[in-house]
Amino acid sequence: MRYGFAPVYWLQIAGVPFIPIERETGLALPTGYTSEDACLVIDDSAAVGVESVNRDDGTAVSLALSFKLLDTATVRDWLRRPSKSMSLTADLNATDTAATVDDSTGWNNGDAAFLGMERIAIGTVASATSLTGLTRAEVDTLAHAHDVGTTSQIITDRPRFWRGRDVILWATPLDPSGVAVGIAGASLTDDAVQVWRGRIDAGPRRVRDGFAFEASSVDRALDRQLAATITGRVVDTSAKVAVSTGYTINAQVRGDNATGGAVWQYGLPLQPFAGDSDGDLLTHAQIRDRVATAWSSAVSDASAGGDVGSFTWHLSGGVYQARVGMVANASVYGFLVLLIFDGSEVVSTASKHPGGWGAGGTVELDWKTTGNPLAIGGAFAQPYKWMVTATIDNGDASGITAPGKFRVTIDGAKRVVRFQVVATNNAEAYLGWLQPADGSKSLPTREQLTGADIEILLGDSGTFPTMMLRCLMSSGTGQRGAYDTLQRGQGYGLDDDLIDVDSFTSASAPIGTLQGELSSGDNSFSSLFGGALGLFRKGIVARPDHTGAIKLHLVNTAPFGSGHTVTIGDVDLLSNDSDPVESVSKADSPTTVAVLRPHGGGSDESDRIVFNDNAQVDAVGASEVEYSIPAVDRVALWQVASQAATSHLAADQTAQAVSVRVPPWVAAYPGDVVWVDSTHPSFYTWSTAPASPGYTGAARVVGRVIELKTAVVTLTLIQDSSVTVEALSPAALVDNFDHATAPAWIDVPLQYLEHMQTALSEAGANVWLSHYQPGEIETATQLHEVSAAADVGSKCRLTIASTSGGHTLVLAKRSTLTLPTTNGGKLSTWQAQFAHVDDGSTWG
Amino acid sequence: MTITTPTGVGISNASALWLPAMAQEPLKTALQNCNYLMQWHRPPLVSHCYTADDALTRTSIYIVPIIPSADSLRYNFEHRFVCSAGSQSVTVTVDETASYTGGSTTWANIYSQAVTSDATGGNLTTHTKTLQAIASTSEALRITYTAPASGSRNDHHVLTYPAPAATVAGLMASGATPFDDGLLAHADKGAVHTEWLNRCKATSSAVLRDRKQIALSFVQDETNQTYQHNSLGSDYYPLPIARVWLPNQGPVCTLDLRVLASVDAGGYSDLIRVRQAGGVPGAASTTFDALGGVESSTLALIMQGDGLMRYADIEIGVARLGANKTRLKAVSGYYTPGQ
Repeated sequence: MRYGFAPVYWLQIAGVPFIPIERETGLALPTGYTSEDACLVIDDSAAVGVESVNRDDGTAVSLALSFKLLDTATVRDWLRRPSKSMSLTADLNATDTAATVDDSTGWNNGDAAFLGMERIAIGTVASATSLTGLTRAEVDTLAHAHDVGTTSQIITDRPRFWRGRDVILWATPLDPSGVAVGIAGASLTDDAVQVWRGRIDAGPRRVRDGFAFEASSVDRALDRQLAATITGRVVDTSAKVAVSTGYTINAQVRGDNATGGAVWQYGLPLQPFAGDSDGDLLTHAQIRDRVATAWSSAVSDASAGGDVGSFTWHLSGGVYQARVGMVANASVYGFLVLLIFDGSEVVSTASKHPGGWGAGGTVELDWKTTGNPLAIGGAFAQPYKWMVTATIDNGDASGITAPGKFRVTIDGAKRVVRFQVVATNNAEAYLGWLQPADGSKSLPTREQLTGADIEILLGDSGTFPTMMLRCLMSSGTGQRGAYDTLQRGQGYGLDDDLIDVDSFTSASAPIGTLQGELSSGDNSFSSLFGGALGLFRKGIVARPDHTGAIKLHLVNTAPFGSGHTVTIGDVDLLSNDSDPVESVSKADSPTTVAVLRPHGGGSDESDRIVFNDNAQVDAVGASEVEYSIPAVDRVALWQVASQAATSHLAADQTAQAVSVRVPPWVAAYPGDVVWVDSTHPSFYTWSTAPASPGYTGAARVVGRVIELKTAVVTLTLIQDSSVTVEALSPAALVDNFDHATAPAWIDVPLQYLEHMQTALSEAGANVWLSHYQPGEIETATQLHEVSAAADVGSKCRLTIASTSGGHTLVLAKRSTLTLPTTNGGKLSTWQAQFAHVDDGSTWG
Repeated sequence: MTITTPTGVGISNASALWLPAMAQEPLKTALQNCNYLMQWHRPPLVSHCYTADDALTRTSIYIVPIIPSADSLRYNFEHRFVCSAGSQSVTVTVDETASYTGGSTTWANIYSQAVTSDATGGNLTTHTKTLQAIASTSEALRITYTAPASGSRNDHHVLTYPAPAATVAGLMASGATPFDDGLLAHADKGAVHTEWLNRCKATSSAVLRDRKQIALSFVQDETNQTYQHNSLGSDYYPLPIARVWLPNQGPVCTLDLRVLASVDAGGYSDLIRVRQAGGVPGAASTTFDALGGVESSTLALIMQGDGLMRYADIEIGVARLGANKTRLKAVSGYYTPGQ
């Protein structure tokens, strides 16, 4: 570190209220932590950080942290076997503040307790079997649902498990005399930086002088398989309808005389399902029978049996038609039946018998059905295509939502079927309105379905960044943040404190707009989203946000970009140990890009779109890279994939990678663009004529690891070679100005602040911007000279030193500022790294 | 400094997108396609078949609710009718209004023209009138056909579609933005910026969404319609189901509906129902008052079928209260891409 300072490392372990630290500092501790203990040893750990981003699937190759806790009194106390224990006797959800337990003997008010990964505080031991006033998620743990029958039903006074606990490695600076910096009352976190963040994978393992732990980086969790399936067996393929006990058919029946006057009339309320339970699944035949039975009951209740006969269904040509008996009555010439279904849909039948009904008979009602008799005009509509009833033996049937997909295994082959309606009843699920979802033209037959094992594939749909956030956050509790909306098992349950949400939601096209649909079961984050991340050159990495907190970010990994964050010069290269810059072998460039669109249930069947670079295949053979992207629409995927694949095939051939050793204050992290200005011969400039050693230009950071003992940082950079791809020039819509012809200030959106401030600082002088109005005649001669850029609340305010071109800003005409032309004499060197016509770069 | 409107959509060759040098192309071609789209995207605003009596010997007046372009574009009109006698003079008049209030409506004339029917009686007559502006504020057109002097007239169909002039400078109210190449083609080598790239999408989207396309239509004479029902209760009597094809759209598409209906007397609430038919799970339904003015609502359709064969079945139902007749005069359902 600079000026003789040195770091002291310390850990936060979720749920454990002491700070393992290399040496005690006496500084104030973070909230929830009660002591620091000089027991931490990290010297044996390998370097930590992101070694590289796998550009084929967007996952970070992050290095693990090894640490040791020395055998101190505090450590012994926290690693010992629990002295107090009790068990939940009823499920405890993530927000409950009272628990029912088997025996609370020995526990006291205010005790801390551990359930699984969560630490809670017991407010009151209300009785031998009751705890109240629980404070959930203490000491950096997260609230979980704890079910009876799982390991987290056991409540203890010490952690039973260390594997799975979140860990943050911090570094706090010590001055050259070894004293922690800070005035009285200063906190350990005041000048500290987060170095690494992850989760304990293994430990404690007893070693000679303490206890060893292994922890993996937070982004490695994304390889963990999700367990989002509900399984069972198909028991029936008859069409069934979920019924409601309150469903009513109001029948108005009237017999008319020869002149249309009523001879008799009755109101017959039919409640065909009064004897069932809500949600019971009935076949169409059962429904027909219940309607007929309900008619008889209603006729009896209304004492109408002397006039109105029984209700039957007449089958003809595959169509069931309702039929009502007429009791013989010579005075009745007309018969009118009005059926009002559930208060809305109406079927009316009017029948006249010129000779009267002296001999009795039957009347055919205008109520016909080939399926569900209650599907009148779309109301109470139920599936009329194929359908299955399944008994669920693993998982919660009530968690099945429509639309969705299920997978059945038939003769060893897996078929995926989409359902659009679902009804569940206890452990039985009825899935209807079926369509093949695996590319097949037809559904499995009823015979094939009956008895088949079935997996309900819990899924999600939306834009890819949104689905990623839901996958990362969802815990089934709704407690992790706004995106914790999916069921348990469909996500990783990461708290939004661990995710830079803005980096996801601000992702632009194509990954930000392409619509996807996926099934979580048997998949991991990497397998679900790796294809989209790889093809569109994105990655998920754990890196600091603007506050210094390490969070998962969605970052760019494209081997090009502009608008760098820092400059790396010769002065930054560390050569004390070895060569500070080394060329790195990068993965072979593909000559074929295959984009797969899986059909719902995973990778069983997929659409396959292939892009070939035939000339390269001829020369070096086929080298294929596959990207699996669960897009909703094949055409939409093809449109964006064709452009991305072209870019891969064309640009990746010439990208070069280097590793660079720099000090820790070089704030370059995966996803950043840095500006390299170095004469080191391991850099090479390919784009000049002649080519030459050294390099001045942009590079993309795809890796950053730090040696904990020495604090040496090694960056992995992707830089241009014979191909240079630059970012497009910015175009800032003018939000406001002082309405002068030669304005003194102009406001543009705040997102341009960093760009403008960097442009000014890099130029060391005023910079120029070109003005135009979209849709009007555009010229290159309307210019503004900018002398300063400042944050004025929600805007970036540009101070204008001069204006030329004779133009006027007009907000209604969307006045816009972009960079000056290359040859107009106003373009700064820094501005020139953004795309201009004929600047020698290429479209990426 | 030229705003060029190409004669066709310029599709860049695949080779032009293979690591192209940072230059005017292929961006210029894409931006000029915006200019093309602004002039040549011409989905029908009106495509209504008349529901009318056979062999009319009177003047007919049809009111068609519309959602015109925000850009107050010019439109072409095509009217089709058959006169039983040859060479009959039928005066075709088209008016517009910003607020339909029945007999007290203030109409602005778009055009009126005497049309001579086909020389052979019984043959189809097609009358075309081009380049007639419809104000962005219009909510209905009134189309009037006078009676032929001899014989009768059968009204068949009216088609109205945009016919904008060549693209010129200036932002459009719809948000469509023309492209002038003054900066991109400047000799000093201009900045290639994000707004140009975004403009391709923004303008395409603005044009597609502004020029709504008729997808569901029904119209009958303003005051002489024949579709009147007697009923036993307040149930809806459905018109025959219509199938709307929207290739590659969905899974849910939302139509903007405009309905014009009235009652002779009594209650008017929710007497017109438009819904997706076919027993589709989750299908939506929306109702309209028969209040004598143009009523607005939307209907979300759960699209059925796949790819080019995406469709939804729609049913229009009419109810009446007591003996009071309900008069359904017109329904227009508009499709907006992406909606």
